[in-house]
Amino acid sequence: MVIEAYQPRRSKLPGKDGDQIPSELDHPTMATPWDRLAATVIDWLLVLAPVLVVVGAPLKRVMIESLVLDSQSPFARAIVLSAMVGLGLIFLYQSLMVHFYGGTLGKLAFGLRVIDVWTHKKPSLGASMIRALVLISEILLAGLPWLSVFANVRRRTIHDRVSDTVVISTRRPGSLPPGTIEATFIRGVHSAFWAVFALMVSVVGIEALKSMESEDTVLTWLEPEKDDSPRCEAVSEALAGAPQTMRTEERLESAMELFAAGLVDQDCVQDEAEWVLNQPDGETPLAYLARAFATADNSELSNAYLQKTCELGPVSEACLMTGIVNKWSEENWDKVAELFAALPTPSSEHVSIWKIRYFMKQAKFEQALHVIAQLSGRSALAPFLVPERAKALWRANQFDQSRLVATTAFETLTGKERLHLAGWMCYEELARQCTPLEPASCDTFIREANNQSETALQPTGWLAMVLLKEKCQSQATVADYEELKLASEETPVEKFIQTLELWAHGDEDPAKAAMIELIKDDKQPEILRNEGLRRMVVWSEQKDDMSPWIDQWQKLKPGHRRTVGPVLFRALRTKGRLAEALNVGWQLLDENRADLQINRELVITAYQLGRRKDAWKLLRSYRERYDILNQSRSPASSDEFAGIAKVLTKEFGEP
Amino acid sequence: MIIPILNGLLRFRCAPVTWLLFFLNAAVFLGGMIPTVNSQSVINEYLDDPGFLRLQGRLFSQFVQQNRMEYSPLVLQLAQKAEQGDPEKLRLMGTLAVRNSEFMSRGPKLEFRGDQVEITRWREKVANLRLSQDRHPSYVLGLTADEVGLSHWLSYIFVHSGPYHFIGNMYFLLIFGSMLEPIIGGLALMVVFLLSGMVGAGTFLLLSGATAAPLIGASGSISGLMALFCFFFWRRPVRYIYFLLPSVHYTGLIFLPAWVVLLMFGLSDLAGYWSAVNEFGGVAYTAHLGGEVAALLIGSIVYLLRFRRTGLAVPEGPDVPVGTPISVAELVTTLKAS
Repeated sequence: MVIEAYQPRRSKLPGKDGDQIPSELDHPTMATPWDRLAATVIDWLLVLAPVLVVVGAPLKRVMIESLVLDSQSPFARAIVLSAMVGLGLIFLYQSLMVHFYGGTLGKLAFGLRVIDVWTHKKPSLGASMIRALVLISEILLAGLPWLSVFANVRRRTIHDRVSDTVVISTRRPGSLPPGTIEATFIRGVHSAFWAVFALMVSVVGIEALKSMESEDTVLTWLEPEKDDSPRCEAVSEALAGAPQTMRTEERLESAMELFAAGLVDQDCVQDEAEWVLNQPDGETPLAYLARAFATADNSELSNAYLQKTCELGPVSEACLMTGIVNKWSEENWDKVAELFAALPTPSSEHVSIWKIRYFMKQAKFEQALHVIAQLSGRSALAPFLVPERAKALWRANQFDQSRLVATTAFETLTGKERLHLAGWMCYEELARQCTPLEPASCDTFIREANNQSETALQPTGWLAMVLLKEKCQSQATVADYEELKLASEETPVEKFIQTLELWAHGDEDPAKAAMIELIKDDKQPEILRNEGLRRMVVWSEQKDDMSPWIDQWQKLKPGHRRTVGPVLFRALRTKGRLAEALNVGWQLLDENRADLQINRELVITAYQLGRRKDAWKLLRSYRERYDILNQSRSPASSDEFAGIAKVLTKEFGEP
Repeated sequence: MIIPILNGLLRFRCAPVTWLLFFLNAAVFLGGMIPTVNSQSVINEYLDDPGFLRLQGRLFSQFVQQNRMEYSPLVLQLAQKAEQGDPEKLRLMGTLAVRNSEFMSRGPKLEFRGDQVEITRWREKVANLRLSQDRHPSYVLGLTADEVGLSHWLSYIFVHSGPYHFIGNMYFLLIFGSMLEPIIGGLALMVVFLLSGMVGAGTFLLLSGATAAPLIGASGSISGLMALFCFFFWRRPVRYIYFLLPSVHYTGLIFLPAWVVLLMFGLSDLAGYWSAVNEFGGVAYTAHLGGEVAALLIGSIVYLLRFRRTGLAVPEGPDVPVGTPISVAELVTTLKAS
């Protein structure tokens, strides 16, 4: 083959007709890859790019306009046309320049020439065109085939080989054939690319096949395109598939109901209210009330909406509702009741839901049940109404009725609502009766908790159970279920439960270390840190230093001191640290958080410390608080406290 | 990448007017920095507020629908989509509204359909926004739809939006000024600079139209200097710096005819003009083209009146980085031979 006859670095190219070789090619050598790359940079950035930018400018404008208007077909047309024009220009530039000048402008600038390997002359027009075509196909492969210039023994890329051409340098020393390492490296890169490419194609193909097999996907494709106007999906579902663009007022009513029931967020109400307000004659008191609810986080703005509600309809139900909102935020419950009573009957359903919330809050369970019964036909509100009914019945001591409602609800409610109701019921069942009951609600809760993907809910229930178990064992005060639920929404409580489990399994030191870490972690919910502190006090041994726990206790919020304080006081007394115990107890007394027993123990502690005057003062406080002067003369007066009281009375007089 | 560096920078006494123009631009830029930063922070606060833009987009859409004759089909279609509640289009319309002086001045006084509480707050915000714009050097000195007086046709030249805008323009002012001033003289340079800028402003008003967003920057004037330089030096090879690959073999200086500069800048401006959607603003390509055409006209007139017979007194010699005129064929031959 002639190509084999071509020898790089020869002083003169052999050919059929040596005279036809241009004079500048007297001493040709293979072009270096870097010269070729620099020539490409000139061709692309300095020659083609400006021309393509000018030629493609009108198309770019069409593309921008299509993108802005989301018009897909003009955009696609412009893209195809741009690609055709661009590739056509590249084809013409490459083929004509190579045929007529022996190289593009970039190649000429670097003294590179494209020659035919058979004739050693400029390539024919046909060869130049084939070369340009293959080069374009290489562009579509991100130029990766060009890397073969580093691997081929004659520095020929695929388009060189297909068109029987070679690029030589007339100016520089030129290039030697690639070394073994260079060629192997590039072949490795090539192979790796194709391997990754094949892998990706396989993965994508398999995924596509899998999704094709899924009935859901096929159905999704067949579904008509959804309306993308910014309306609330939950409202559409509640209205049983009513078109999103219809029944605007009704949609807003529904959004308000769902919001009052806690089944949608503020954004839903916001979107619906905005839609109503932007309709011709869309300004209604209800729309502004909805805006007030939706902007509740910004009190100034929310108040402006409340004001606007009443400006627009001074005697409307929405205006009366603004008064309720104001008084509710002030916790003026008498006034709220008055305003609810002033509302016309029958009132809107969203108002009725707020009534239910109010009655439940004020422990008016019978009234709450009455309103719930009125709304029972609304299936969209069932996730709110059914649990509230079960809770109201429970609180009204109609336990069997409540269980019946809950059991029925477990079959109709969806996962999240079912889990919430089951958790609440299970907790209440256990709280009511500390026997190892296994009520249906607990079974449901455990089953749901295991099935639910919302793991944050799971620990709440478990924590509640753990604490309840303790309560049942020790009669200790435990945290409120709702408070725990809130805490678990802030931070998952797995760590706390794990620490308790460690202790239960006898791993005392790791349990203590983990609990200390939890107590000191400001990011943990306060309720958990306080529970942790309570346990650390209980778990502490005789030799342990209690000062850190006393300090920690003093930093607690007053509500939480009540829970931990008595435990700390007794632990200190048990360890014989009477002075510290007296301080803690006295603080509890000052904060009116010491019960009768603590007060008695305080008197004894002060007496044991030799602070008899203080003991007498504490005795006086004890009698003032509990008015049990007569009790001291009861049979119980024979205990230690009674003895001390007698001594103190004798010494300092009647308290 | 290839950039003309021509004669480099001359000392002050060799090109005093060029340096004076530079100092004047620098003084305006530095003097306006603090008010620019202060006003811009307020303006950005509103423009970065999605709620503000969304509402403004809604109101502007209503405004456009009420004044259909005054808007392009693109804006009309956008307004229609925005009114259907498309959040992306609302935001876009809100941004376009800021550029629309008619809406920004009349809008707050009009009655709109929608949430009146929000609209009242929007009116307050627009009043604040306009107050900040009134203190912003770009709005005070720039060419806006509200300020199209002749004084603004000049003052806009000396205002720049930021350091990159300033540095980019000043580089070319010094490069082309240093090349031209020794040949045409300081006064002529000043006249060309200002006249090109004014014609650039006129072309911008004619082809693109003034908006509430100001036209600023010396690029129209500098395009004029560049075009005049190319006219006078047309076929003479001048100095460029090129950077192809990160290696000394592929970086350096090269002499190419002066028309290459006009080709580079002119093509880019033409492409920018043809591809630009006027409503969205951006680089004022029409001002560049206006400056270039003005300078080519000035050059032609001066050449015909003064140099047709004698030719231009272009400096030549071994120390001057300007070659003798060269044709395209000679250029190709030189490239091949070099």
